[in-house]
Amino acid sequence: MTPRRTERSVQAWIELIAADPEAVSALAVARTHLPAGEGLAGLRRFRVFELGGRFPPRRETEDLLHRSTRFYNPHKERCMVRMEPADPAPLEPGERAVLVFERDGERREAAERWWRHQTGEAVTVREGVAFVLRFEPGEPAAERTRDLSVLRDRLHGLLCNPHSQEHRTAGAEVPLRWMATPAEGGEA
Amino acid sequence: MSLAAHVPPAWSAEEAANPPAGAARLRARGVSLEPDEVTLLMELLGRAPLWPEAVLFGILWSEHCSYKSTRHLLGRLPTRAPQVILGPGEDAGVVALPAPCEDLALVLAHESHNHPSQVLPVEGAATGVGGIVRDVGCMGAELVGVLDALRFGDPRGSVHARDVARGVVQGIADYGNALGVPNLGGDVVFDRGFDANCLVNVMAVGVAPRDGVLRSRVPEGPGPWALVIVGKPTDESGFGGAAFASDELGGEQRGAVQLPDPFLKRVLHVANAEVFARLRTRGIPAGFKDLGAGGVACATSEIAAAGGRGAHVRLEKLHRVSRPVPPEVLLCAETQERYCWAVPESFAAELCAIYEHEFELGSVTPGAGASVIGVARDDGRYRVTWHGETVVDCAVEAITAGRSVQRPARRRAPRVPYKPHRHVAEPHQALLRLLGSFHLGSREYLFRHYDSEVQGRTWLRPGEADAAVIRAHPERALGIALAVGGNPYWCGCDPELGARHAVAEAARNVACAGGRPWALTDCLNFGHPEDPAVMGDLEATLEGLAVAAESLGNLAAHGQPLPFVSGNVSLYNQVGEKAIPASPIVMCAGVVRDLSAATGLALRRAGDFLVLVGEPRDELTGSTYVREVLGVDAGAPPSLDLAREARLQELAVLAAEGRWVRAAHDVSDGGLAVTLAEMLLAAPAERGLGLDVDFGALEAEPELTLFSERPGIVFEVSPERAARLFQGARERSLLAWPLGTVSAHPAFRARMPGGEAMEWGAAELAEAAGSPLARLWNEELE
Amino acid sequence: MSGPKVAVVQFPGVNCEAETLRALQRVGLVAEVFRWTRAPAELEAFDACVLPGGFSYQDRVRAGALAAKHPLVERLARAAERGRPVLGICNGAQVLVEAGLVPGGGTVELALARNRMPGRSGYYARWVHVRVERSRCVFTRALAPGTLLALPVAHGEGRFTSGTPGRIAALARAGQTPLRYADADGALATGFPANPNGAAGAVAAVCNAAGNVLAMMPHPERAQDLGQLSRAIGGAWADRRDEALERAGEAAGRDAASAGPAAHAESPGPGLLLFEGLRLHLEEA
Repeated sequence: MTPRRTERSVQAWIELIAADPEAVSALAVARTHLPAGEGLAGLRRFRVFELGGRFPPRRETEDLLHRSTRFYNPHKERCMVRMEPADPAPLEPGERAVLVFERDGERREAAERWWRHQTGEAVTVREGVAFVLRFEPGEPAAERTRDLSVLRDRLHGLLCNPHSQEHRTAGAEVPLRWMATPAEGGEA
Repeated sequence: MSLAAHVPPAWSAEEAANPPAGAARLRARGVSLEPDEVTLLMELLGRAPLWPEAVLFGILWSEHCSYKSTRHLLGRLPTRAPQVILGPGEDAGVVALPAPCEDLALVLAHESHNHPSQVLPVEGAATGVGGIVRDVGCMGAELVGVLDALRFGDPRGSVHARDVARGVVQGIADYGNALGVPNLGGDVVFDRGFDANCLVNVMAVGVAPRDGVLRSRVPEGPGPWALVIVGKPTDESGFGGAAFASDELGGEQRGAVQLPDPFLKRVLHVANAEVFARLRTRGIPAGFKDLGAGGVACATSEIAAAGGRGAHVRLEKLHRVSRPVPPEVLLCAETQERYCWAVPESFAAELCAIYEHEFELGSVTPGAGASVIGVARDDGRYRVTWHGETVVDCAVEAITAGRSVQRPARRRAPRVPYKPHRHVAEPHQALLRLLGSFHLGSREYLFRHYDSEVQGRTWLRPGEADAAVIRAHPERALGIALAVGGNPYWCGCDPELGARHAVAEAARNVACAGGRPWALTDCLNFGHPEDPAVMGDLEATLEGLAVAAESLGNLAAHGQPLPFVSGNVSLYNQVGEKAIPASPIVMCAGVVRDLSAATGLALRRAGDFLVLVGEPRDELTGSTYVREVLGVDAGAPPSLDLAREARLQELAVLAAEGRWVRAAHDVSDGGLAVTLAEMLLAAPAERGLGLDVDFGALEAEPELTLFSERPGIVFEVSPERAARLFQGARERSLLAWPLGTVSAHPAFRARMPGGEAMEWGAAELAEAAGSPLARLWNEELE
Repeated sequence: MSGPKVAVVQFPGVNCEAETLRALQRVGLVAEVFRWTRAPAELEAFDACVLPGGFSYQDRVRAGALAAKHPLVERLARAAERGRPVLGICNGAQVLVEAGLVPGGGTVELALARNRMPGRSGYYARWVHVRVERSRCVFTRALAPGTLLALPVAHGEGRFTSGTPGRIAALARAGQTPLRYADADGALATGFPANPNGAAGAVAAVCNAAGNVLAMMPHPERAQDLGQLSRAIGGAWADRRDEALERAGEAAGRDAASAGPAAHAESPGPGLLLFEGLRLHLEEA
């Protein structure tokens, strides 16, 4: 008998091994055209999966994610898995993460079906994109992040269009259950 | 950046004296050269090679680049006809068009990207499209369409087979849609034979001013001629890819797959168009070549050699990524989205400024741009230096000499045709099962992924006719029809006859749409050339392709063959003992003299007659019905009379040009019942059209009548014009049968040969046909 | 006296500019492609602007998101405020929405979200019908409400939506949704595939209050010729196409030299009517 597993969240952060053209373009446009972006020193982009349900130990869970291109393709991407809130997210000190996902469109049924087919377990799978921002020293990072996050007009906001997308923001401590929580500001 | 100032030799002195050891040393570092090739290389150079030279020749002499196992066999294919301006040999073939487009030329290319698509389906397929459009773009042509012929494993077999299928379609769509080149169709086949080796064949079509075609060589004249690389900054990607395509899949393949960038490619193409315009306006001669397998090395050496010259390349001048990359990697890497120009030195600075300033390539992709990396030389040497240090130094003839390897070949025993089974399936269910199969299910789900309209030239889309049809020029009436052929079941069974069918089918599809077959391209997808059975299949295939092409060229030029103008060979599609079935894939391009006569396949008007012209329904051999419904081996392909086929295609073209017919659809996979069902399903549902058919008119057994795959064409013809069609058939000694009429009731109603009535509702047929691909994409297979 | 000039704005990655240019020229307008590297001030010389379809900036971050930040769009906004017509087609529509030029007012009030389709996701290409609704839109002014047009769509993010509940319905009531998806008989589309992306209210296009800025998802330039219409659609336009082709065929039978182009010139397609609307508006101005 398999040991009893409790319900929990698992997060997978997936990054391109080669340079990410979306990150490069977003950084260039933000720095060149947006007041809040002038002090942006770096921008990375991750696909983030958040799974909910019962999971096997870390090694097996990582192996499952590794096995299907519904999650990522190990030939071109690397994956970091968080199974406990204490597990670190791939953020450097001072960086801020902005998670963006489609409102009512973040579930991945194909991935859920595959998981159930492989393991017999029904899990929920949500996917979003995390932009990780690094500012020049001296920039008020939290304020700039807020300005860059939500699209308001031609000069303010870029990463999330609030009319179709939701966003969450985090600093050093990224919640493990991040996508599924209703937004409460989420600032860390 | 501190790189070794000293360029190392490829092997030690001991290994130099011992070719097998030298070859082993190279293999360990990722370069594939046989011991005899090692010896040959030493003879050509007169010394031990430097490491970059070993890498270069490893790529040049790979099967993918050198065609060493097949080059001497390809001469069997007919490549000459009056309409051919440039046959196989350069990156694409060039064909003249008739009035009113005699000032234009059609440019065609055909390639495969099989191995990379099996490993990384999305990127593999995308870079396949990227490569083929460069082959056409580098001739100075504007791209007007891409097609794809795909072979995937059994979707019910493994999730990987389904992932490959979905990934490849996504890759083709992502690239082609973003680039702004319409997808004009092709085909998809699913079979266990491709479980471990998918096939992704891509074809590109372009239009160029007839006197503005650019050759892939340094022009004539004293020069000096500058060599300029434009596009993506060179990196390590794809390093060793040509050798990779020539090896079996397995082991560590990670480094070899290239990363596509259709955004950069789009901007590059807009910039290229600006350069073409300036060259043409000012009468500046230039050569233009795309970078593919073997990267800078192959492109620069070949562009020079084709112009009868050598070259000196200063590799440090090449624009590249900012991190350090060793010279042999820069030289041979297969970074995507790059071209090579050979222009007068006086124009080189202006050329670079167009890319770097007028189009700001560097803002599109960091590091992208243009760099003058070398100059053509008259001393017959190809030299590459890295900060003054010699990296490659050889005679240009060594580069172009190529390799030829004679492989033993063994022809297979002739295949026995299918013997009728005692068990006969119930026809009502049989048709639904056929339509619901992966082989015959509707491709609509797939077509919806692709932009087939961009550029506004498309006249008949994939699924609307047997061939897609586009306008050659936005304001003129001439059309180009495009279709593919190549049934792996038939070719796997009897390569020679299967290959004949491949050509016949592609040309027949073009003729049904109203196009005169004008030119062919091909890709030969096979297993290991070291296997005599594979070589035997290849030889038989070439014979079949040639014989068919020789018979089907009359509609373009009387008494002339239908010429092959571009092609590709892909070997090593095999894992262990399991090779793919012999898989020649043929594309036919045709000329539709007046677009208003282009003929679709959908039913058009209630009251019209339906007429079958072609071979009698007398063989079930090779049929999808036997394979899918009866579940047994279907045996050899059906027979094919090429002389009658030529006359059948002539009738189809004249019937279209003369506006005798309102629709035409060829009978092939699935047989007559499937052909008729497809004509019904293609009609807009709002029109509520159906079929009333009397199968008894064919005077054959029900099974044969409905499901025989002997060639034929079903025409929809108005009652006033029917006599003309029958007369045309008689004049060409072709058999013709009246089948019935188009009805105003949305159902396929049939009277069977025995007299019983049968009916399939339009909705029932649509549901069956729509199911397979939708279930595949939604992971709804058991 | 020089006539009105139209700029077809080309961002890097746009790919429909050639046929868009042709459509404008066909209705008699002077038009040219305006490349993104030109000085934005040069846009002043043009009386109207069209943002054609394609994949500007490869849809990075979100379709239209990066182009919306380009200085050219600031120019477009000011021109739009002064009443100059601005037409955004597909990706061009996405840019206008991301820049707040529609529904107008400077802030972003809408999104063109990912298609919602039963049984599939992502990019989707097909021919649809749209119905003209009552509005002040300059591009549809000459078309009676209820007029049907057959046009192709090809997009992955074409679903008009708003985070403000009822915003789209309010726009419809205000006459700012001049085109809505319909079936071939003219009834408003109630589901897929007549509504190809799940857009709220079956909205296919949104304009600003003054009606001079239009963001539409279908591609009118791909239906400028009757012969371009897909054989898969039914309805009145398909019938017109068939009749035109029959006539062209008869003409070709009588006189081979008059085939094709003559038919082409006589048979404007449904998409051309929107460019015709622009021409009428510019002539009156």
